[in-house]
Amino acid sequence: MSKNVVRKTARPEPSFAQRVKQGWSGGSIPMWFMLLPTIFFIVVISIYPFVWIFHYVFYDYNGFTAYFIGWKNFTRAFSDSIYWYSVLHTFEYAVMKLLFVLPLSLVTAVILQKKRFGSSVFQVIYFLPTVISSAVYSLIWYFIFASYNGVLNGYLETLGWISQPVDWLGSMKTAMTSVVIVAVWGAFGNYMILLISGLAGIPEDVYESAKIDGANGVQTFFHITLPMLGPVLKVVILLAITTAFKDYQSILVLTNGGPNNRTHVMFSYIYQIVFGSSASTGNLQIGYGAVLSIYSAVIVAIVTIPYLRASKKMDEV
Amino acid sequence: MKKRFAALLLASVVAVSSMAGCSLGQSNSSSAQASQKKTSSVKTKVVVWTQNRHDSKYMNQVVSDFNKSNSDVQIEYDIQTEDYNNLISMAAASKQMPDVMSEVDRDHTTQFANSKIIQPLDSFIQSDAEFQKVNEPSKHVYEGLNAVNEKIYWVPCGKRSGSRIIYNKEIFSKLNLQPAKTLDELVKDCKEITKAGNKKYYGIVIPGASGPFERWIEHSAEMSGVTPYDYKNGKYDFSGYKPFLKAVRQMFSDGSVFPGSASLKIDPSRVQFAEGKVAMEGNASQEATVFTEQFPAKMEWGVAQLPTLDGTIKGAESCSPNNGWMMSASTKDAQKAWKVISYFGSEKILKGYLEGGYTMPMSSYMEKAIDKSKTGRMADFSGAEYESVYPVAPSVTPEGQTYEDALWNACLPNGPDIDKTISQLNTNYNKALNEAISMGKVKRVVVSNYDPLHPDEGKVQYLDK
Repeated sequence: MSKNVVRKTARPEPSFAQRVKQGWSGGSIPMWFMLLPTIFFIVVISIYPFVWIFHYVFYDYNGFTAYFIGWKNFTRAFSDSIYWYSVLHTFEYAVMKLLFVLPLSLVTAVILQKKRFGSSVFQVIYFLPTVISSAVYSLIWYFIFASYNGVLNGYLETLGWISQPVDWLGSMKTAMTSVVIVAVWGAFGNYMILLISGLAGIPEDVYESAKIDGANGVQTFFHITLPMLGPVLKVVILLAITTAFKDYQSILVLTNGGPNNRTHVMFSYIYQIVFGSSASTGNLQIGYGAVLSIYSAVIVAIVTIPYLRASKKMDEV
Repeated sequence: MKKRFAALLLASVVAVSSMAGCSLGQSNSSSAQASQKKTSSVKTKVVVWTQNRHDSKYMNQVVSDFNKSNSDVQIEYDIQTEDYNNLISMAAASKQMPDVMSEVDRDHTTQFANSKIIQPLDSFIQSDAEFQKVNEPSKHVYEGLNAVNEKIYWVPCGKRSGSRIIYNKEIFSKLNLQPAKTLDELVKDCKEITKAGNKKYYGIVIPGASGPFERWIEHSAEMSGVTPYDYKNGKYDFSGYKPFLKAVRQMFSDGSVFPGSASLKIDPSRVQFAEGKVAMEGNASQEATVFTEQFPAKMEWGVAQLPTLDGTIKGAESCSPNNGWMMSASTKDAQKAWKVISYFGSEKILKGYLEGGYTMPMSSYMEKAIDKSKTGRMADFSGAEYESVYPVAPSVTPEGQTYEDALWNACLPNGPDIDKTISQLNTNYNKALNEAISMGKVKRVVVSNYDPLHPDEGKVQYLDK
């Protein structure tokens, strides 16, 4: 009896051609076609190497010969003081960078968003470091920071602010500040442009209503601009945090992690372990570097996941 | 529907073009190869990679002359200066190895040989009497450097000298100074020069960002009988470096080191010397061409022996064999590849190379064959009888920093404690050595009759424990 009911109500299975037609008209096939290039590159460039490093975490591997050493790479990391100092330096670098880069990009975005004379020119100037290779602009900063006949020391001496040239990159007291200055300079223009696009999306009539209600500039900024910028700000902060934790290219150019490892961050140290330093190009430690990469990925995740949860409120605009 | 079709078309174009991008170079190169095949159908192409850029003008001419005059081999000569060792590793992994490659450092020679991506040259050398006469390969077999398991993988046709103190003659003459014989004199001279310079010039420059320890400090220690590896007892021992680290730290404290040296790269530091802003720089024979061609010095400069701990030479200074060529294990025509190596190592080519000042002669035959008056300032670096090639100490991967980085950091004014640094290095290196031996990665090197003045003459033993 029940079989008969099923027979009566069941639709015939759609043929392959029909399913393709449905997928086509429903938009799922074009969607997968459009995602294909991105998926391909994510698999090849991100997922495959990440899976690949797990293969060597139990080995002492120099790129040619792999010696099985069990858990030694994992236990060694716990007593590696340079690594743990580099973790501390990463937090120091990231906090200092975020402390300056976010307010600076927000303020410049608010100032330059309104069409004023020269605002587009300044937008382009501030955005330029984003399109220049960090290795190139870091090299320029290397000469700006030079102790002897350096541009920065020259200005400071002319202004009478210093009597002796400062060894910006060579002194353990100033090296971290110097690399943070370069990082802030290189990053804030990018976030500024993202925030400007967010600001452009806030309807003008909201501001007009606030004006009619008698709100001043500061009140408008904190009660209208900031809350309505929430979704964009959330993305910008997330990008800023993850980038700050992953930065290392400009550090390698400016100080190579020195002096005395003072500017080594997690990934500059891992880079030297895996690819070698100027002193040691032969003793590559790919297995140990893989373990440190996993630890570092966990550390970055520990920082970003709570932020993602906390930032859900920012969507509620 | 039209919009969706357009989007699909666009996505397909992006997908196809991104894939095509990967193979675009290949199709271009294959068409280039095809056209080359047409022009040189009877010639076998031998691909040569080198990491040397300084000799490109001379070597390009050598290759061009060879290609014009040779009927069966066509050399394709590529200069690969960026990340050379890794490039060879990747080429081997992707089966795109060149046929012939300029030599690599000791660690990579051993790695490449053990991985069988390069092949021994012994049989080719034995059948080439002319090559033997000119380069004396049997006299220059250095296990772990150019030979692995007593098989030769490259023959040094030249060498880079050990380090010297290169000094500004005008400043020295003005202050009536002579190059220092002892480390203490060096510290004192640097202080005196800096004081006299009154911020216009300084005592010495050390490129803190470009292998500062290896430039001259390590070599000064070698000449004082101090090496990182204790050859007699077969273990690492860094204890002897203490006075050298103290001396450099003293120079920093005195303000006699050029400002910003701690973060200075090699070329900017060379420029400061060439401009007369520093009185001394410690470096090897490559500076002969640097201060005559790359950054011509604006004053008269001289070359002096490095200072030692007490003014006497108690150990040999290491020089670096170079200008050697390795052969890929996967070369299709090894005889033709050897023909190229033999040509690069021939008397005619080497004579021009050595007289051009690109390197210094390694063999006694070439030492006599060249006209030294043509070698320019390279002559200032040659003829040091206290130079030698050390037995290669076992290569280990210690926890923490390499000794070069750690010892340099201990030289810095606010650097770590010198004694602690040395003690930590001794622990880390010997722990790594013992582990590497137990894993079968390396063997303990012991030279029971080790003579620091003649380190290459001892009987080297390779122990499993």
